[in-house]
Parts: sequence; structure tokens; C-alpha cells
Amino acid sequence: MEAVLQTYGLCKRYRRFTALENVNMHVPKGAIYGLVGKNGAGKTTLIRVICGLQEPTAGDYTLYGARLGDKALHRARRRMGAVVETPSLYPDMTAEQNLKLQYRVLGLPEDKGIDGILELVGLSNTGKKKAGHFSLGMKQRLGIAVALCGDPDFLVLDEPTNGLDPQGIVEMRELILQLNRERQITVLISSHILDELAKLATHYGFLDGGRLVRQVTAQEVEAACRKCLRATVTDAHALCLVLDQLGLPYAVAGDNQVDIYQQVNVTQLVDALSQKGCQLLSLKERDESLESYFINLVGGERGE
Amino acid sequence: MSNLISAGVYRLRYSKLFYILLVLLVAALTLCYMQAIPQTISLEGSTSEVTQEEGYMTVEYAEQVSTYPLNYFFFQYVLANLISCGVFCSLFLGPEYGDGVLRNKLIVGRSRSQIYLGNLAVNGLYGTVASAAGILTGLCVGVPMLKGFGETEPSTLVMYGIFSLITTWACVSLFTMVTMAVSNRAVAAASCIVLAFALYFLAQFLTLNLSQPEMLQGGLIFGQDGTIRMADPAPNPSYISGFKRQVYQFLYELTPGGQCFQIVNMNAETPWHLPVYAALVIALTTGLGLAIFQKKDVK
Repeated sequence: MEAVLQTYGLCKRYRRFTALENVNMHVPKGAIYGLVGKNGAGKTTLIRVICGLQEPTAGDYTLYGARLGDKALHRARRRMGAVVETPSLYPDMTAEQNLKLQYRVLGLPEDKGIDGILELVGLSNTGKKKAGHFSLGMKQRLGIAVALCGDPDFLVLDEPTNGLDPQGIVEMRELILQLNRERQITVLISSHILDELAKLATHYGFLDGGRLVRQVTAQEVEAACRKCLRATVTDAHALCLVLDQLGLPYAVAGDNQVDIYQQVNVTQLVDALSQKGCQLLSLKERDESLESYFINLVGGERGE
Repeated sequence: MSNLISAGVYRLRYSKLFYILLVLLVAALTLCYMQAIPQTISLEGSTSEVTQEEGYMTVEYAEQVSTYPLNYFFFQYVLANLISCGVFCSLFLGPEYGDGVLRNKLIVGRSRSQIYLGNLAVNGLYGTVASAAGILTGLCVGVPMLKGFGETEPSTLVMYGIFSLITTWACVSLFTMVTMAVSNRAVAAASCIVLAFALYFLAQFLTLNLSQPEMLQGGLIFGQDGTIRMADPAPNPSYISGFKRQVYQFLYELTPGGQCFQIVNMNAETPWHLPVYAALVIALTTGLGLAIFQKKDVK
């Protein structure tokens, strides 16, 4: 699949501190890519580097095929918009003036499409109110509006729901989904609120300690997080035969472990296993969320 | 870069700071002219009066004052520009780092040099407008109030007018460099204002030292027989000479503050040095500012 953004061994060091190390990321076109990580994992640093705010210490990246250092990268950046950490607004100017100013930065006719953007983000009625007097939610939305100037097809949002109330979070989520579905905008969104990200993302990148520990699709995460019973037995092969006879869906999870994706009659299962000389050692219910998936992932990587 | 300048001009239109500083400049200059009105009353000739009292002598001289004080006050705006440019550049560019709006430009692919030069150009526009406001105030308010420039050649006025513009741009370039190099908005603003006043006081110090006469006029010697004669001129101990004078003179001509004082007094020793050194300041500060800004990590 065509990649909007691809990083190759990206590193960023500040004196003795390594914020990013050997990050190889692939953001497919049309995806909502969720960048997941704890506080201090390097999400914002990664976003700053790919947005051109900081130079990487080592490594490379391409944006729409334009490599770091190429002149074409400046042109490629015209196709992206971003809100990094906090919205970048002129506090003494109104919402409309902020957008008109950004239009001028982009060299666009200033009255084309501004009203539509303001309506899209729900700020069409702010009138002469200065951006400095906006609530946090309004500032976030105005920040996205500024990022949408120039009709980008790649949007980078760094923790856009920070500080928003529950309704604001819902509105932000719906806006992102709308942009992705109606305008086919590829979105890279970083967050440590995994429940919210789980409702949005089609792809995930898990960042921990500056390293991208895993990249998966939403389907893969869903499959991994599927509710199941994990059976630990003395003979996994025998268990598989029994489950086939019972017509139960399963997947082998390890040498002597099998995940069963349906409720099972335990007595019937034990009887069937004992006929084949197999003992059931344990049976545990597993219901992973994205959160537990991430914690297991990070904990597992740290243990290696 | 034209887009960035266009955006900067658009923002300038809505900037209260821009209008406040211009109004303050015009008001301050008008006040100066009003206070100088009594100096336009000429005193013809010089008078001396000697009176002798018991063991005490008083000599009084009445000096002939300039009847055209506008010559001294007309270019005062360039000193005001030195301070106001420090204030304007730091506060107008404050949101670049403080509110993060610099990111909006970098993200959409504007190069660092384009952003820096665009900001420099907009600040330069402020300097130009401030100089124009100063000149217009002088012509529209100062000339009628203070009876014009007397015998000062128009070409001299035009020359120093052009120099004032270039020196103002040198000030703008210096303060733009400081503001773009320092990420902290408050530190940048404080640094610019302190630097502006430091340059002002340095220039004042240099002016005072360089304007000391080489020889002091001798005093009166009173003979026992009641005769009075003038003593021979004596070397002035405060007169700076040699290498030290060269250094002082160089700083006086190089620093924007020193250039401002020379323009105000219209007494530059080597007038063509002013635009050359101002251009040098612009080139050096812009080059240094660009170099620092190119490498800066933006948060």
C-alpha cells in the first residue's frame, strides 16, 4: 500500500538523552494511524521531527516519496497540516483572521473556503471574539481549522483530545472520522488515551522509550484482543483434536496452550481430554483491551 | 517569501502595538517641539558684564543660542526608533515562539530562511513607517512651530534622512536576530529592551567622551596690580587620544546607538561611514541570526 509517511531508522538525541531510537514507521495512505505510547515515550518528538520542526540526529524519512533534504520535501509539506501539542494561534486575532493569515502564508486566495472550514469545525459563530478568549476546546478546533487550510491530505494531530470534556472528545473523534471518510485525509494521531484511539484507528504504532516496538493493523489488534478461554494442557495436539470434534473455534497460543473462542462445557471438555490421555492444567478467561495489549507488549519488550 | 511578508503585513494591520508605538512617537516629538519654542527667540550679539565686588569677581556672558532648534530636534525620532524597534520587534514576533505560530509556517513547508527574512522584512516595514512618521511630524508640526531649519542645506537634511532610515533598519536587524534566536518570549523581550537602552547609554557615553575638546580655554589670571589676563590654553585631561580614541570612534560609528546620535546632531565626522557601517550591522546580524535559526529545535 502506498505510504504517505515512511521513516527509516529515525533517531533524535538531546545531549545525553535519546528521545527516539531507530524508528521505522509506515503510515499507509487513507489510514488513521494511532501512535500509542506513555508520557515521555517520544510521540511528540517523533511528530516534531516529521513536521520539520526539528532535525533528526540520524536516520531519514520520506513524505509522499520526498526524502529529507530534497527540495521536493518543501512542496510535499504543502499537502500536510498538523497540530503539535498545543494549537498555534494568534491570540489577538479572531478565528477568521487566523485562517486568513494562514491562507496568506500558503499563498491562497484568502476568501476561498474559510467559511466552510469554520463550519466544519463548528466555529462559524465566533464573530469578533479573539482566539485568546476561546475555551480550550474551541482553541483545539481552531488549531485543526488552521491545519486544514490549504486542503491537506495528511493531518498530524498530537493528543488532540487533551484537556477536552467528554462531549468535546466525542466531537473531536467525529470530526476526525468525518475528515477521513469524506475527504480521504490520512490522519496520524498520537494519544495515550487508548480507549478513545481504539474507536478511531485503523493502524497502530506502539512507542516505548523512543523505540517503535510494534506496528499492527486494527484487525490484528482485534484478533489479538478477542475474548477467549486460554487452556493449558499436557498435550496441545490432543486438545486440538477434541476441539475439532466439538466444533469449537480455537487458535494455538503456545506449546501447551490453546485459546478457545467460544464458551465451552468444561466437564465435557475434561472427559473428552481424559479419553485421549490429556490433562487440563488450567482454564483462564482472557479479555484483552487495547490497553492491556499495550501494557503486555511494553512489559514483554522490557523483559526481553 | 512574498506570501510570508503578505501575511506579516496583514497581521500588522491588526496590531495594536504598531499603532500605539506610532502614536507615542508622534506625541513625543510634538512635545519636544513645543518645549523648544522658547529657543526660537533669538538673542542678538553677545554681552559680557564684569562686576567687581570685594575680593570677588563675577563675569557674566550671555551666549547667543540657536534660533533654529529644529536642527537639533528634527532627527530625534531616530533615537526613539532605537528604543521602539526593540519593543516592537520582540513583542510583534513574540507569538512566533510563545504561541507556536512559527510551527504553522514550518509545517506547510516554508524554509527557515524564508521565515526569518519574512519577519525581518515586516519589522523593517515598521521601522520605515516609524521613520516616515517622524519625518512627517517634523515637517508638519516642527517646521511651523520652530521656524524651519535656518541655513541648514536641504541636501544635508536629505542625506541624514536617508541615513536615519538605514540606521533604523540596522536596529531592526539587530533586534530581529535576538528575537528569532531566543525561544523564550519574555527573555527575548527583556533582552531587546535592555539592549536598546544599553546601546543608547553607550552612545551617550561615547558622545560625551569624544566631544571633549583637546584643549581647555584658560581661565583668568588676576595680577596683584589689578590686571586681568587670560591664561594660556591647557591640555584637557578628559580628552581621549590615540588608540583609545580610534576604538571609541569605531564603536561610535559602528553601533546603532552611536549612529543615531550622529544623525540627531548632524555632526558625523565621516558621513559616508554611517550607511556603510549600518549595512555592515544588517549583514552581520542577519547572517548570524539565520545561522542560529537554521539549527534551532522548535518546540
